Amino acid sequence: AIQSSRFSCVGFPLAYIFLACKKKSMALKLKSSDNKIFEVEELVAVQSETIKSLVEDGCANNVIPLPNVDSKTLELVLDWCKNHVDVKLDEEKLKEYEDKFIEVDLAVLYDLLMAANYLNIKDLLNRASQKVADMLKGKKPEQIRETFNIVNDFSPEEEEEIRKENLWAFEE
Amino acid sequence: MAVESSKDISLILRGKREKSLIDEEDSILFPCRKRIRRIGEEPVQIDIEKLPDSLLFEVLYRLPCRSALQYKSVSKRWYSLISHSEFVRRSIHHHHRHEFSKSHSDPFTLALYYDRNILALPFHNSEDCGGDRIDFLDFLPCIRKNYPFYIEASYNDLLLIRSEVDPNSTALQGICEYCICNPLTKQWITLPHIRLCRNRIMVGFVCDPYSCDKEQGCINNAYYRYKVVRIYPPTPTKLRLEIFSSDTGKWCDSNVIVSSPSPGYRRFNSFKMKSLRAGVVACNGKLHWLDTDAEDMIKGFLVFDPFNDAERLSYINPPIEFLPKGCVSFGVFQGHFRMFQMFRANPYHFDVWELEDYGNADTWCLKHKVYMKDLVSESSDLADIAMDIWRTVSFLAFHPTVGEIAFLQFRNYIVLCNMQTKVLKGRWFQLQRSLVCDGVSLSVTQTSTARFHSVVCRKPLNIFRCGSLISAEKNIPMSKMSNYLSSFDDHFCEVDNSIIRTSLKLHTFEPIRCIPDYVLYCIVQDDDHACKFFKWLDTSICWTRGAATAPIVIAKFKRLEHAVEVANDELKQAHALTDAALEREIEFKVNPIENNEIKESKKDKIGIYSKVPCLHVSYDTCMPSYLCCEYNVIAQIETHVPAYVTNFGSVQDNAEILADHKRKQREAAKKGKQPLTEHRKKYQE
Repeated sequence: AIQSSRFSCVGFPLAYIFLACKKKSMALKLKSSDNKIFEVEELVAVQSETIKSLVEDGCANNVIPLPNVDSKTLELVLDWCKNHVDVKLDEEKLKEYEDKFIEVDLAVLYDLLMAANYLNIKDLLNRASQKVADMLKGKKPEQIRETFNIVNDFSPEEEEEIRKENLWAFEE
Repeated sequence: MAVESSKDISLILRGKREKSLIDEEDSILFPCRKRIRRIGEEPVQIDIEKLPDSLLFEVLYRLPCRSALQYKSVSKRWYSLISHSEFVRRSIHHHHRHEFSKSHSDPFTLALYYDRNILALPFHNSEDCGGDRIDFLDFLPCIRKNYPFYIEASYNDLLLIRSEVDPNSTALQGICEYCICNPLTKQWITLPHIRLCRNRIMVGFVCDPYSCDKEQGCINNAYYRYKVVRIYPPTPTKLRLEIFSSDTGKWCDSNVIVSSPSPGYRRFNSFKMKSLRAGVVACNGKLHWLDTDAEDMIKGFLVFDPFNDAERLSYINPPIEFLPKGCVSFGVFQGHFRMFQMFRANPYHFDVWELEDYGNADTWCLKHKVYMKDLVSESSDLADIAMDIWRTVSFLAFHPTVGEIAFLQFRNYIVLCNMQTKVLKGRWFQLQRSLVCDGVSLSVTQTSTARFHSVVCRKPLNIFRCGSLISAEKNIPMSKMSNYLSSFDDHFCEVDNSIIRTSLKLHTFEPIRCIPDYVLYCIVQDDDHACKFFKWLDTSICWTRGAATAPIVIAKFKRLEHAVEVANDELKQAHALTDAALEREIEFKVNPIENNEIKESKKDKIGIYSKVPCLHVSYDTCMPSYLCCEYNVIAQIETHVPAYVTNFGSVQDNAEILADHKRKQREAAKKGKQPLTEHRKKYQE
């Protein structure tokens, strides 16, 4: 039950219809870092380039361990994959889904980013990094440091030098 | 509650994972940074520093350029990531794709050069525009010192500006200086001094798009490889070029010689009006300009590749179905070479062609065909201009990111024309002072990647456009509105376009109000430099030319004179009323009770009368300057219309007439009589 909690209104039924139709397709077993097993359609899973290469290499017969992804993130990622496997889903709805999907707090976003990078899912990586970039955008360097706990390791002179070099960027 | 608990779970899970994995695969998968995460940290405060470099990089190159450059000062790690050459490449790539996929585009600035002023119109997205910026180039020393300057060309976000070195120093006269600047970053470099060329040369400016330094990236303008090419008017077999190359840092001469007839042999044609007007356009690292024959008919385009082959020129033929008439401009839209052709007649329309398969088959594709009558606009003024064949409509530039939008100039409006939907938008752009753009129009993209790269649409040197010179500001001698040749105060002739304006000063007796100067100007059509006909500023057309114009002008001025008389009468009446009122006021001083009431009514009456425009036609300026103006035409277009000379006699005669006329005028002024009749007789003979 916990696994379906994040399925969107669009994604949920479609993913199941899809599962029902494609019985023939092989199911893969993915093991998250906290040892939860997820069974997914191969077509869904191979959107991850990492898993795809494993499948192609014939290493996907047993459970595929994904030691860098925890179950909560994996669940989200798989939800994303399920919604992106069906190309028939029209663009508008997909966009709507993506927008909703990505509206998470920074902690989750961070995990998604890491997972997308590890599993090598291009769309998700793009979307998540764009989201983080959007969050950064418009802030002042000082605010960035404050928000993200970054230590300023420049000496005041060095910082002034960089500012001077890029003066125009600092002008309003 | 559910959210809270799930967060807790994830935290615990994460903690477990960290423990079990820290010495396993993590270091292999993320070699840059080890993930060390403290348990018990507040979940909202996620430390972005813990992202591996590769992921932080993914995030950073998606930032707008301005933000990214600001964030260089966040920390050393960020600095090294953002300064990385890969960053520039990725950023350009990302924003480029972004531009194509989204309908809105990054901001850019359309800069218009007119009357030694620059009008910079920043566009924040495809259809919107901010206010004009006057401080656009104020960082340049030559502009701060107020030296004469000219925008010669642009490439992406760089402008090439020519200025005098020091107008006050005689030793440096005849020498000019080119500088390349980036208005966005306010950086510039100055090229070595070079002789000022009074001939009609064309100047091209091109950067090598693939020349970013591998180590440094395209951080500074200086890192672009670039060439500035001065093209001299060619002889039939020889074309002289002066090329400044960033590789050598020097100007050097280059000659392109057409030797014997060979395949593809063509003689060079000297620059004519059309090629000068269309200027030099840089596209795909090459320079292009219009090739026109002795009759100023379009033959095609000349292509010069300063980076790879400075010895030869190649050609692009015009489209097969091409009519070599009309007014041709060209520009670049996202790396595609585009041509804009305006036909004033049968029917009034314009075409936009795009060159496909550049460098190989060179096939032209007709992108848009727009009939002026189809254009619609919310502003009735714009729609009127579109319908009126005699109003000036000219091409400025293509929109850098939206293919179906072109910038046009409708008299004193700058208009966004959507060639697909045929909608005109121009309400933002009404030029101040109704002046017409005088020079270069170009665009500088202020894209988020502008520092490194930007899309450009440009069109250099579109010179003065005919029409719309209503001097709304009072008492500005027209000659001051232009730096072109002028022999008298009240008119000027423009050499390059043979557009003649001569003004009749019609002042009202009130110093604040004035009616537009009456301006007569000559319409010169593209394929013929002769003056076809004249047009008054109130848009009525005068078809006759030469000597035959004189009686018409005189008749017109007679009418105006009559208007002046009427107005003068009214003025007299107004004065009389004022006097009467004053008299009465003196009376009322004795009778102060009625005073206020009467004062009000008196004010009203004077108010009404003072609103009547009272014209003062100064013949001293109108008639002779009209004539002199004609002489200037003779001087300019002599070769085309020798008939003018015979019609009008010599310039000396005219000067005498003028002197004589002035003397008579003075005498008449003493007598209080206008010498019009005599004057007119003289011309009707």
